[in-house]
Amino acid sequence: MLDQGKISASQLSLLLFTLVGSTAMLFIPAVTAESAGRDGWMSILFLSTIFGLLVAWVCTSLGQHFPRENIIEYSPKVFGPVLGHLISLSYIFFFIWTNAIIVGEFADFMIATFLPETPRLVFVLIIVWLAAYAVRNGLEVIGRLNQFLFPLLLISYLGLVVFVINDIKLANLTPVLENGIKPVLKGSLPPSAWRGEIVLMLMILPNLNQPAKGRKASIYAVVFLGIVLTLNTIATVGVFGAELSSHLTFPYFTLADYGQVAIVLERMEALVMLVWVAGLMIKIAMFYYCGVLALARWFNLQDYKPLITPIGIILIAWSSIIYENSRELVELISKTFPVYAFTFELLIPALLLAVAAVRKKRGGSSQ
Amino acid sequence: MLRNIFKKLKKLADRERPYTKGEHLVENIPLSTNLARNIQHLKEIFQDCSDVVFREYAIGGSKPVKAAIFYVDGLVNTSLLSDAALNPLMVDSQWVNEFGKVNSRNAYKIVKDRLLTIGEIIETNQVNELADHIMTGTTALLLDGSEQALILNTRNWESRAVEEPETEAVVRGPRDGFTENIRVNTAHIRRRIRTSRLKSEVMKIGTLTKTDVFILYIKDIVDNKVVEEVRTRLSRIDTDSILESGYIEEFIEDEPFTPFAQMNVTERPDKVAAGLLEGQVAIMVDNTPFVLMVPYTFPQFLSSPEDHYNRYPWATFVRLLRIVALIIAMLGPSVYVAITSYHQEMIPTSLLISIASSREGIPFPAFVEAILMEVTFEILREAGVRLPRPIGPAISFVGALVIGEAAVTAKLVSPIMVVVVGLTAIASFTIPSLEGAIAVRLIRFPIIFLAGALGLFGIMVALLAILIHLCALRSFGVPFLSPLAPLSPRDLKDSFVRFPWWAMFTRPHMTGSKEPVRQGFSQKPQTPPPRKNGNQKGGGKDA
Repeated sequence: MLDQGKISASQLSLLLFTLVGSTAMLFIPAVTAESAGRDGWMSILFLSTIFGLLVAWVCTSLGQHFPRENIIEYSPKVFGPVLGHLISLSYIFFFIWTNAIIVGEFADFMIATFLPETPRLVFVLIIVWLAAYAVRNGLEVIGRLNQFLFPLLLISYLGLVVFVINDIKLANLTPVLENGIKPVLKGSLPPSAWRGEIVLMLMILPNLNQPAKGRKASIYAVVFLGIVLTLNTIATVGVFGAELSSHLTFPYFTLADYGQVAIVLERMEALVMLVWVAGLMIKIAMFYYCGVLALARWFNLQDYKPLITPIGIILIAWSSIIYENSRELVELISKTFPVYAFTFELLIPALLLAVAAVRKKRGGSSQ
Repeated sequence: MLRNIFKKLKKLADRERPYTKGEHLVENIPLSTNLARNIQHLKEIFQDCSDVVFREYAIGGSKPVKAAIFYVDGLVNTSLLSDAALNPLMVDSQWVNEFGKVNSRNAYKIVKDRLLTIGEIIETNQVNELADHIMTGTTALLLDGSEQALILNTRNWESRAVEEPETEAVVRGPRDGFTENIRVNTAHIRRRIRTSRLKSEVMKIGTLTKTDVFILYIKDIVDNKVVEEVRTRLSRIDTDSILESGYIEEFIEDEPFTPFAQMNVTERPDKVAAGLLEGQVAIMVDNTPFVLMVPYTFPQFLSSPEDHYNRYPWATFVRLLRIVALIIAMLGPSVYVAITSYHQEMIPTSLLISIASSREGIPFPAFVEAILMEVTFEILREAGVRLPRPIGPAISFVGALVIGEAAVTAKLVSPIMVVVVGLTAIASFTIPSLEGAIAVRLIRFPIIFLAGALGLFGIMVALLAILIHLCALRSFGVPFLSPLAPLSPRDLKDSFVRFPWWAMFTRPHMTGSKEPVRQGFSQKPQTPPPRKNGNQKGGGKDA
């Protein structure tokens, strides 16, 4: 294995939570409100959670088939060298491409909300540098970092709901299922794509110190995330109504503006932003780590560290050109990204699992 | 260019060092039976050493045997020497009749077995070894006709009395501190932990200073891997001198490029004893009161030995207070800079107005103001340490007042900035660990820069970078943030909070897992049942 670091099942669980939560929290209320209106919370609570569980089940099953290997290592074994390596390469593309989108999102968010006069490149450089520093130290450190920051993340995700609880008008959520089930189904596509990001497990499951606990950990993460995201969507739609929520770029963030802690601190959005930066840094670091590790594995390198700088440069450049403006970004993440996401998050892993089961391929468990 | 410099340095380092093994010019030669020859050798070695005393005398009555002693003046207890080594040999030896008269054949045995009334004796037959021992404060006794020499432990030199440690004062708790004398220091520990399981291994480091370094640990509590690691890292040190434990610290730490210490430094014996009982290893160095303790983890960063003596609710409160102080010390000025320059909307309007009015007429931006005041404070602090003791505190207080007051009146800095910097300064002194406070003070400056450049986002970037660094930091294999990340819930009992003693029945998982249980499970004091003959009958009626 390239990275000898070990993480515990609870660290995995928390990592998966942060991985999905840090961006989903920000965009999901708007995206679901757009297609599912006031029933958005249903698409998140039921459909996307089911999708998340499905992904978790497939990934951990693959993990049980090949306990010591990641997807880059076992896909050639399952699909044969040519197709297998192609699939591995496409995963490397997926990791880096998704990461470039996230880095871009981050920079745009910072410019839009906090420091409008700072060049975009500054944010991109800083966040990629921080992530690179974390990746250099390996998965173990990312896991610990996330564990340390998790209470803060949770407070910012749930605390906000508590602060605005008096302003939530449940009338904004009724009538339920006014337009039937169809918009709900449609609205569940983007959140599902996000929830499926836990597919990164395919890269990090071998680093689990108790592989048997992987499935339980991922299921906890998916379910807990479903609850937290649903609460946030209900809070956002409850305060602003479905119409306004869909027009705000970062509705959850606007919510922070709404809440007030005592009299000392007004406008807490700056604090929420800080915590969000931390969560996002971990997310970027995770994708970065998986991309670097996968590429190193694909090239059959002994060490993944020499690839950190080149991939960092690719990330910086790609994130600057991947989309033109924030409208294009919304299109990208609500229309294009789900297609890729479903392919890489469920379709290919499911195929891998099916073929591996049929061909009775198994990784050496005794290694 | 750097590579060239490195190459040159390497070349320099690879050159033969003549005195790597020892500083004596003579070969490693055995002692001879001829006393005059041995004396000749030693005199050659100690040529021009004016503090080495040499005395020749004779033992026995009719056929006296010649003898000689060598010692370093000032390192030996001369009255002990004359009572135990000179008097019996020169005077009493005349009356020894049991084995016949003393002569050059039996002198050595009789002297060693019957005459020398001194506790510790070492024998040697090497001139070099003898010379080394003389340098440590022992007395060498050479006898004519014998290939062996006796080394008598007469060590005794002037040392500072045991005093209360100045760097780690406590309100409640023992007041003794370590001194420069390593023997006194080990005795401090032995007086607290009276078990043979407390081991102290000795090592000599430094080709010239030959400093004694002790490794203290409690067998079967400590993780053997840590002890082994300490041993190997210490034995790897190849240097000419160790003058303070700081030398050793920088040679053996896990991560050299960091402002954070990876070893606990203390001059309190009770702290060392508590650490040993939790499975830590102490490294004691001669000639310094500062003892190193490994592995070092984050809760120790914020804990004072007093926390274990005070009542637990108070100790918990104080620990939480220290965390607040830590945050203020690290982030105080930078948060002020960030909020006043970038996030004014976070400040309530009335406060904003008072800040704005106090900043009116100040020529500098908040960032420059902060750097100016912080640097000034650090200068004052440093001056306070360096100045002669009687005037030190006065100068620093007056300096602070005059500079603060005058700077405000002259409209160089705003009064609020003085408040912020003052608060930061005071907060930074609440961190009990000296090394920790230094690290916090140091990282404050880059954070102020980032806050000035990017506002709160800059602070977050700095904090994340520090946090990644701390997550990666290890002290002898134990993660620095250990009970927090990786989380071990059981050990949180003695971190941000302090559980009562009867509830802390296990040792920390990371260091003391070999013998995890330290006391009986439930020893919560119970209220005794009311006494039978008490005031049960006539409750409240007693005269």
